[in-house]
Amino acid sequence: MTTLHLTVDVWRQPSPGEPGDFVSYDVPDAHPDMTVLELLDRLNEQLAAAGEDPVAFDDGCREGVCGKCGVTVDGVPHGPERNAASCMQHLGAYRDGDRVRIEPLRAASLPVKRDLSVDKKALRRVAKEAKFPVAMKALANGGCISCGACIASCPNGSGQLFVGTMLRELPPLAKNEDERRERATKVIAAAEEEFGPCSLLGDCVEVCPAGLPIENLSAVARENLRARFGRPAQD
Amino acid sequence: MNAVTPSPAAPVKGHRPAPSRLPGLSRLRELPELPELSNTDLKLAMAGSGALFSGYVLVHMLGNLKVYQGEEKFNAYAEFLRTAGAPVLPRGTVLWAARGVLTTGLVAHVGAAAVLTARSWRANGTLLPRRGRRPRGRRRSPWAVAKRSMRSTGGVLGLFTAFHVLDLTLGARPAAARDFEHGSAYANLVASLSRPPVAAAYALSMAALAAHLVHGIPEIANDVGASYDRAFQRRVRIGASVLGAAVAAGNTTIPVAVLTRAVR
Repeated sequence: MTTLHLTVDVWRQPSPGEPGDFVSYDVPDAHPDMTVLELLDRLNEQLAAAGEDPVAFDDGCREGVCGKCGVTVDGVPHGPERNAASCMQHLGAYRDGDRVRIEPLRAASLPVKRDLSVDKKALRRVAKEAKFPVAMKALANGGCISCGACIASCPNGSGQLFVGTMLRELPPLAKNEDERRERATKVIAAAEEEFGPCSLLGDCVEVCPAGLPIENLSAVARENLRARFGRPAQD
Repeated sequence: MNAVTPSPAAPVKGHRPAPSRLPGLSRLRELPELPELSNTDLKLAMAGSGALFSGYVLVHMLGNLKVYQGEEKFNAYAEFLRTAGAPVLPRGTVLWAARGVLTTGLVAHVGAAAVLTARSWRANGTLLPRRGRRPRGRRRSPWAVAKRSMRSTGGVLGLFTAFHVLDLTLGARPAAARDFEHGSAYANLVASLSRPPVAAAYALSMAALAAHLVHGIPEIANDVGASYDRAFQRRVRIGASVLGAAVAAGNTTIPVAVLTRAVR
């Protein structure tokens, strides 16, 4: 078993209002088949043994399907591997003596709560505009796990992959054409409050643990144009 | 949670502070807001003006290639653009109408881009007070970076357009060559591109144009809701690459031809 002696620069921030900064820690006994979260677990064991505050981070199923976890590793949301949540990102790319930089998912719509843990309520606020249970069903049908990494990876802070996936799956769940248009309009308006504009940069589809396709981005413009200019009789 | 306090900057008439219900944004600078123009509206304006320019650069490139037909034919084409519609339309009508449409498109494109840029800075966390920079993301090849850098390639194209108009339309020094003469389109072109720094600048601008088209045209399809179909999206990407390469390469042959005296 190869042992990796890693220097881990972790973002520490005690509360939302206070400033944060990177703190360097030594983890002398990491290994390549550790996941990113397991690396943080190991670090926290060390901190606990030394009587220090553990690093707070979001954690869930540890199987890549719940959408709760997510940290930025060396500048990339979730980690260096494409389309895998942080809990499924292994340290295989790192060598003994390497430096790893771990910070929270970064976006204005994902404010830091503490250390690496962020507030993902912005996604809920947008989903609520489509009636929450319907939005959840639409997202589930589309495969989205609402992890927020797409927003964090986007240089524009756009949530277009999240919103587009929801809008792509909303039509079959709407009672009629009017409801479809009304909900789409509300969701798009809410998204404009929370997120930035999309420029088809594609960072989102590189990080999405659900592997959502880039076509979903276009659903936003499609539903918007349909709601505003579509003929009433069409379905 | 702290109450949102507006920045101490003098409030600009007609603007209101960016709406914010997020903690920690109390020190966010006031950004000019156009509340009645949604992101989707602005992207449609960019898509329309972008499509206009994409078509324009293709036609303009084809017109430029007439230089290979020789001085007489090239100058005749330039004259044709001014007399099109005669005798019904006065001289220059079509040309000025085209310039009006292009200028309107430019205002729409740059104006929308400016507002969208401000909104993207607000959304991506750049404006938040925080030590350390925004995460860099993955490493990418130079061409991949160029394709993503639409504001930069757009800026280069804006500066290029300004220089190009000063050089070959207005004949204004120092952009234009010393022996610029109104009405001598061919001679002016050769004189201008015989200056190696100018030829190089034109060639580099064409690289920027290629990058801008290759990414911009798929954006047009995306922003009008046409890219939800994967097969169509792929065809658009291929078409964009072909158009970008063709326009850039076609135009770039001309400074090369002038410098190698193939065109003189």
